[in-house]
Amino acid sequence: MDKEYFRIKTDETGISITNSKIDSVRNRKMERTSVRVFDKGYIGISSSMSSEEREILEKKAIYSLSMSVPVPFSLPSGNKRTWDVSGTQITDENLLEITDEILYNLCKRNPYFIFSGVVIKSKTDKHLENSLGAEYMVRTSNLLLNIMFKHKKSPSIIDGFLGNVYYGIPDIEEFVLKYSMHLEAFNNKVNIDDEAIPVIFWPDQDSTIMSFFIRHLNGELIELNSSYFSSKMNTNIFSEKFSLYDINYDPDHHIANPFDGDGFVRKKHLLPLIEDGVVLRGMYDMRRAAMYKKEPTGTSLRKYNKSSEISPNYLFIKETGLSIKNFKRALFVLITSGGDFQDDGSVSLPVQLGYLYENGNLIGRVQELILNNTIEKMFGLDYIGSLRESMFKDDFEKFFAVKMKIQKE
Amino acid sequence: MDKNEIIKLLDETDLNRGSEYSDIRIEKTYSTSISMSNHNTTNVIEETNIGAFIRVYNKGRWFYKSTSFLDKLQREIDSLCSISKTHNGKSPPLFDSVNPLSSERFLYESKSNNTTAKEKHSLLKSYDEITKEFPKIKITESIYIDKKSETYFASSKNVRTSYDFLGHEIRINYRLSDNDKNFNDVYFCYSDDFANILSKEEEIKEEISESEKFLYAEQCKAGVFPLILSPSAAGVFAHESFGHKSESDFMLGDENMKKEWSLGKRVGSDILSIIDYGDIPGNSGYVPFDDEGSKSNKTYLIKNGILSGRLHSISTAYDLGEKTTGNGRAINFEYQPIVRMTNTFIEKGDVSFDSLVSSIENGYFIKSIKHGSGLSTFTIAPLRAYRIISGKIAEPIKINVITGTIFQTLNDIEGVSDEVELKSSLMGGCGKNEQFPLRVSFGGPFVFVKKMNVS
Repeated sequence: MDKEYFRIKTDETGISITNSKIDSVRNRKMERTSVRVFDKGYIGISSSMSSEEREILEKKAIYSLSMSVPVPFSLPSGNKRTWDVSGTQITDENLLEITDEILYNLCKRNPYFIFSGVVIKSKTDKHLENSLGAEYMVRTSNLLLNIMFKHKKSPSIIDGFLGNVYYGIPDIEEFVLKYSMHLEAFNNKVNIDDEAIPVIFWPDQDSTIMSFFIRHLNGELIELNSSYFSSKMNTNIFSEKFSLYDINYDPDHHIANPFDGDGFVRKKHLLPLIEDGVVLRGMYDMRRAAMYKKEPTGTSLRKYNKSSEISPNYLFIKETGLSIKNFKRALFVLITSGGDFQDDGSVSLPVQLGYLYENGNLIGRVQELILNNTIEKMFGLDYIGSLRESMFKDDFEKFFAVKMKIQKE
Repeated sequence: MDKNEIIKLLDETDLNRGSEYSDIRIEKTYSTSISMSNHNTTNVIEETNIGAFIRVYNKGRWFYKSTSFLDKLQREIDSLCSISKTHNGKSPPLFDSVNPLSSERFLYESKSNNTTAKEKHSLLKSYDEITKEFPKIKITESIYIDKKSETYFASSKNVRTSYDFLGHEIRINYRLSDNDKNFNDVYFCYSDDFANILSKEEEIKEEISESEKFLYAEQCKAGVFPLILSPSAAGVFAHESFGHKSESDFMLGDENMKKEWSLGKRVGSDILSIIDYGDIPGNSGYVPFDDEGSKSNKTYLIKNGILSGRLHSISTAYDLGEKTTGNGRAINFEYQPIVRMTNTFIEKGDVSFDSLVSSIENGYFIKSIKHGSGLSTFTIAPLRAYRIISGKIAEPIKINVITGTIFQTLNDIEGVSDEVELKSSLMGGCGKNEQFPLRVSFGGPFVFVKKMNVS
């Protein structure tokens, strides 16, 4: 019988902001543990977010073998390794000072706005060991700024938000400056009549656009002919300028998933999924890799109390050397929500917050628009490229530009 | 730790340790999660957790701590009280209107362990097996989830409340494919009684047969059309478009919002009433007492088109000079209560679904949805939608998204049907700030909106 022990320890302090003031301070120290046992082709699992002993969890996992859940793969072997990409540690006192300073400066520069949201510093230790010699520990830490804004005269509960994740002491001056730039533009309503204007997106991992790639590059969907890409593998369907990668480890940007949810360590941190417009491969966890006779791609995500699922570590679009300075005029989209892709690849994206950009400046907030296109055209004929610039100077995610059909409401 | 031991622990914990206010919420949960992927079981897991959330209020600021080490509760309270004393600020009399209360509501004590994980697994397998009868189904993801929770609350204002919750849910996600045509759909059922999710075979077959028609649906024409929203779509509309705006923490200290949202103002058509009420057993938003020990109140957010109420925690009720409504909620013992919805729904009207349909010459019926959102623009991504032609439901149609300006849409409601249906779920839920998912339910009657953008 092979055994695996997985533990996630989180130490988090969160500050809640209401009406531009600190409202509360919360400390959360949690430990989530799971045990998996593999025996004669079956798996047993137990988990806990309380302080249950490892031996008790092991007994529960062995008991759950009686549910006869088949498992098509074996635990990977390995050795002892530790990765620590935690940045400068921030104390609780520092966190309060940072939050106070951000709020003071945001309010001072933008007296017509009210701010709310959270500032959270967290440290996470993930520890996985199995009876085949693998023993991995990875430590990460970060500071999340997620600050919503609302104009004092706005009838909405929020008008938008801007946030960033820092790995150490944040550059408060830059954050306030960029935030204020958006708010100044927000105050000026403009209408876009130009249907040919390029659209600049922020490649947020949770965005509708990235979600399409995450779903359709799922190896199982590809194998079962149910992915948009099933019949398009190894085919050049996108622009040669477009490449999409999964990255699991980049200490400079504090990306650290060196082992996946099954304990698999892939050889290369960079995994090309789409390269020069060609769809190269899908993503597989160990279960699906065994089922479809493929190599696992280190893209198994496992919550402590769930079975693994296929999920990228971090998707990013290859830079094409463009600069925002190449654009005299563009629609800069910060928030889209509510729209979705159809299975034929068509999409409608309602713009919840977008700005007109002209000659290096955000000029004003645009009216409500819907952006239409198809995935193949967006990253094919209509793909302009990925920019060198990002929202904040050290961001890994860079803007990208495409042409969209703009529908005015 | 059983019920009596938890109650004893709360009795023995001293909450009056020098702060202006303190409280503890202990939550014990039992859950089962079973997953099947393409007919193979991938996960059967039963989990029991217990933890506590402690709040201390001093000098105008809250201090929180969550812990799963219940033997150290007193130490954690003392530590928070000590930290809170280092802060300098002024406190408003937030808790003056909090009156002592002692109340418990345990509805599910006898139902907790009647069904074994093996029986739940067998049920899921039998439903999953049905999908094999449909050759166009290429992918399935079948899930069973149940959750039983017990919540115990005690505060320094002598409020003691406790209640339990139980829900079972089955969800079968399936993807239909026929050459290059694909359609994703889902069957789901929910109940607080395991017996009520049995014998669903025929229902599942009917649902899948209907889904198959959507494989060949045409894309809709973009434009402005009249629509009928199903109870689930209407519920998402109520939740996203108006429910979130009724969460009054967004108004704290915002004089303009208070003026803009003054009660008595007309915000919708006079046939529109929206209610939030936690004390409806059997639904996933069932919360007879919130996580601050306040009793749930039936709150009309809109009554006959007039802004009539809003949702409160203790802090927001004080700030707006109103009464608590039982809407201070947290997703679990790791988080603080904030103002959240419970069961939110549009009140029924007096016309039939058929008569709503018959009034539309050329429009759409939104039967089920993928998701919705609501900032200044309200959006719904439909899953199943049908054309309505000459007063009759016609062929299935593909719609990417429907959108509208919230206040315009509230005023454009011209008909509501005579039956209300609430949709419950344990999978997914509502998200706010960093707290997701919170169990809620939403629903309503069929709702006729005279114009919305369709694309």
